[in-house]
Amino acid sequence: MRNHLITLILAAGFIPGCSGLKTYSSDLDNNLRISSETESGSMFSSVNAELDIHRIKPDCSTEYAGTVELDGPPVDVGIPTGRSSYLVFVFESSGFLSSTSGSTSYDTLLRPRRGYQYDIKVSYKENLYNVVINEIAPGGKKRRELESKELAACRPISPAAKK
Amino acid sequence: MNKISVLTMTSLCVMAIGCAGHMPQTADEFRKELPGAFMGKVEKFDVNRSHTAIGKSFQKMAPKCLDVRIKTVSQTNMSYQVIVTKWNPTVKVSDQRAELHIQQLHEQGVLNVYEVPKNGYYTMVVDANPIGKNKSQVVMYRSSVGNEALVKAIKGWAAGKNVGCPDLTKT
Repeated sequence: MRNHLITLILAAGFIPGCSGLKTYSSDLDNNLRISSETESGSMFSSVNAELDIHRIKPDCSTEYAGTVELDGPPVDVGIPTGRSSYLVFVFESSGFLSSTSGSTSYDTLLRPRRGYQYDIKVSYKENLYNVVINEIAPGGKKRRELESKELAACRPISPAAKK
Repeated sequence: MNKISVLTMTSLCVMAIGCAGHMPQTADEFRKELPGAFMGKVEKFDVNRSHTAIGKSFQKMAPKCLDVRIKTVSQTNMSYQVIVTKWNPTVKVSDQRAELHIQQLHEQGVLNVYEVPKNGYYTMVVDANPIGKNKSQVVMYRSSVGNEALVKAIKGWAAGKNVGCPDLTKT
């Protein structure tokens, strides 16, 4: 029994650290406002939305920075300006009775400009998901919808260019 | 057998033209053989857009939404099943028509009994044929069951609406 207890205590201690997810946080000024709306379309299933934020290194490899839960009121976060971040919006669905789960995602590179705000609308309705990103110029007068940009579009920065 | 297995088997049987043992190996074969297949459906509707505009929408949305790898997990007390499927879209635009071919390559969890085309079994073929200035007839060759979100998305893309992507875990 003692061994079981130790095992349980160890397991309980490790679980939060083992999920691999961490809440995204930064000291940067907020430049993203993310609103989400999710409906599974069935009382027997649910859909959760979250945003995984990855930093882009000069060689275009990614580094996980954290996750933002999107199931709730609009969320404001800050990501670096003048350099690209890789945003992955993940929609996880699960059934209460069928024990079937699945996830699908929408990803894009985003290179925020200094002083600009980014309004992101995330939706999941009737098994269709959508992410619309609008760039709002300083002063809020001009806004334009941004096309999604694949990670493959990233171009490595050569050491010479950095100098 | 769980819901995913049933739908997968149903889809395969539809495409196997009544489970007779042959799977279409090209989009043309799919077009020819689907109308006579069990639960095969040919749906036609008109759109007030040119076929090239529809083709552009397909070119924009199909790689983003349909070039994906989907993993679904089903678990009961007695079973645990993981299915991994790579979806492969192809878009072709010519003077005659715009085409969207959708194929599914089962990488894990599905026994491929029939000969598998290079990019997987054909799930759907969609043609946009010009029928006037800025008017096209869209023809969907598809199964009459399942894929509701996919059908809805493609109809939206054909109409030029920003409807987003279908959740392919729900097919």
